[in-house]
Amino acid sequence: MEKIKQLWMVRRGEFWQEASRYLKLLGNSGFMFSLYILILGGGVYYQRWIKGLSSDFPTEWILTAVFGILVFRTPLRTFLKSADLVFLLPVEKQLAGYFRQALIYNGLLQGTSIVFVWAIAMPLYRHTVSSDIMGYLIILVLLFAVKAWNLYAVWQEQHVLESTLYDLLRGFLTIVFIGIVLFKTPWWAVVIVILAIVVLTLSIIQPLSKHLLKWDKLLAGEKRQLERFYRLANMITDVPKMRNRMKPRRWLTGLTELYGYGQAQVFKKFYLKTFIRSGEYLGIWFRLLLIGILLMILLPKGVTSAIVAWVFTYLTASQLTALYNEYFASSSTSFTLSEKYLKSSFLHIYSTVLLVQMVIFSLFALFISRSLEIAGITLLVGLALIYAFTYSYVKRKVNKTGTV
Amino acid sequence: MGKPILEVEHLSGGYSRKAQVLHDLNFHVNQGELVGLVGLNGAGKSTTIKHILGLLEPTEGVIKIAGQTIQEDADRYRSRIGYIPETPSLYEQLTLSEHLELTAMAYGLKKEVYEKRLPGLLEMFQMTNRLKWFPAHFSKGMKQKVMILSAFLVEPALYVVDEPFVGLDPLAIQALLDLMVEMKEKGSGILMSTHILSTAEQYCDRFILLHQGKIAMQGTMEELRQKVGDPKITLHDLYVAVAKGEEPWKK
Repeated sequence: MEKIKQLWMVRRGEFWQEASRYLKLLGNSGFMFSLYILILGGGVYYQRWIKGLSSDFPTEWILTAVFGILVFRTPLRTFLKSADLVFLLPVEKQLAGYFRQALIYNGLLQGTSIVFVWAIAMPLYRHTVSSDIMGYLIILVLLFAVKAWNLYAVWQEQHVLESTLYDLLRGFLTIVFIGIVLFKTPWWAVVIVILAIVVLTLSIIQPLSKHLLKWDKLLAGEKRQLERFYRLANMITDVPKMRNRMKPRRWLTGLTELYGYGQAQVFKKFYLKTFIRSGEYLGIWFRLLLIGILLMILLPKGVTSAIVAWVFTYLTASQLTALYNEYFASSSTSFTLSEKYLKSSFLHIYSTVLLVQMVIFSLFALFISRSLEIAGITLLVGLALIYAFTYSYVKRKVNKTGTV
Repeated sequence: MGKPILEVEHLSGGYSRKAQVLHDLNFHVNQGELVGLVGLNGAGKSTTIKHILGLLEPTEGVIKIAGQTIQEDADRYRSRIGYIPETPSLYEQLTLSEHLELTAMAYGLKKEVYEKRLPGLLEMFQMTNRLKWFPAHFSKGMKQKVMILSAFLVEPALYVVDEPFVGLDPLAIQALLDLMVEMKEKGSGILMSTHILSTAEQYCDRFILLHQGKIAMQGTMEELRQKVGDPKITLHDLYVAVAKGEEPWKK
């Protein structure tokens, strides 16, 4: 039984040993460099932007939304493995300590990210809401408290499969709590919300543990978290263990019908469907598009917009190369006969997806800077860059190694 | 009996030259013939199949499909094989209908032919209303059905079927057997490895008994019985004797 007590330490150690290898690689990669530049540049603009704000800027609303999401989103890392379902299930009772340590671990980790974001928000908060440092620190403590409650509730929810209703209630109370704290509402409002939280906890959340612990749910959550990490690591290196989560996204399936029927179309359809559904490819594409557009809006208009478009399409491009490997994820021989079209089809889909992103960026450049010139330069140079990157660098990579 | 569709001559091979698994195999499968490949775990059945598919290269010997080796024309060679693997392998991001459509496309099947063949096959295996499902929601048996559907959809000249019955429900087993008989009558050759010996004895025209990478015996049930001088011996008893290393044909 001594072994079970040490299990948490062993598992956590195993993960961080693996993680540190990837983090080292990530630290030295070009992606991180681009990120540093963005952070540094962003920081300067951020400071300048704050100075221009008046005190009626809706800081409270924005911070409520940001911290509402940050506190509500409570993923659970448990370091469980699927084999535990066979070997650890019989000793579930003795794992109470293990799970307690897991909750503490998650609390520390998620607490750190709250501190981090709260620190970023400090200049904004002190400039537009209140420069009182004590109030600022008290809010941080309250954020910790409501995070702890969220962690407890999420743990209790692991005892039932269907928890949407609890999530809704928890999310609602979390956001309201953060809102009343930030808006400095009268004391009785605070009391009411805290009472509501206590009542919800005692009447619904706490009794959940009379159900059996749902291991499948715990495992699914762990798998999601692990994949998130692998996805991040996969940006800069090949992660053998990466297993993709699949999202059907049926509303986009129609797009893949643009490619007709025939031997040459097999891998065009395959890669477009994979891009749409598998892993985070579409997510990365969309998120980088969104951040790029946001920066275009915040940064000075003009050539900056074009540069943002190029940089973000490059960031997208460098992460989408892994799409090529998806074909080799299965040992299926069903499509072997089309393999002569494999590489060209991949490069076609890869460049098309980037091209669409660049067109959207250019439209926004036009919309924001109201200059046909800027939009034109963004698009034309952008297309040239995509073409060059795809058919020199990526093509060589694909031809050389077989996998990217 | 038709002409040979698959010819294996003096095949030796395995995963590396040092660790040879197969030793001088000689056999063939004729058009319109169902041949059972029988042997213990590790006897070399899957390795033999991998050589036939062209996933492994023989160290010695030749494998021909319709008289052609894979070196002569890899695409034509491969397009003549429909393979049903022992472990179904599917893409998580493709639905049942997409697996089938892309397979048909890869094999160069005409769209009309694909659309004509599909409904009957789906019905046979009770998969009609699962067309839009993703493999994550399939049981082992259903995944196996996808592999079976893919193979029979393209109606190749040679079927290579590796232990197909495990995980299938009884209706699907019967459907598969019926389909194999139908394809056989249409002139395809079928090589099937299996451990379900009673079914094999009932359905296969000939047998290849593999033991430790060598062919211990081969022939029709009649021929095998004659060789061991026991006119009533079942395939099961014969196989057990071979597997124990008794070399019953020497008695």
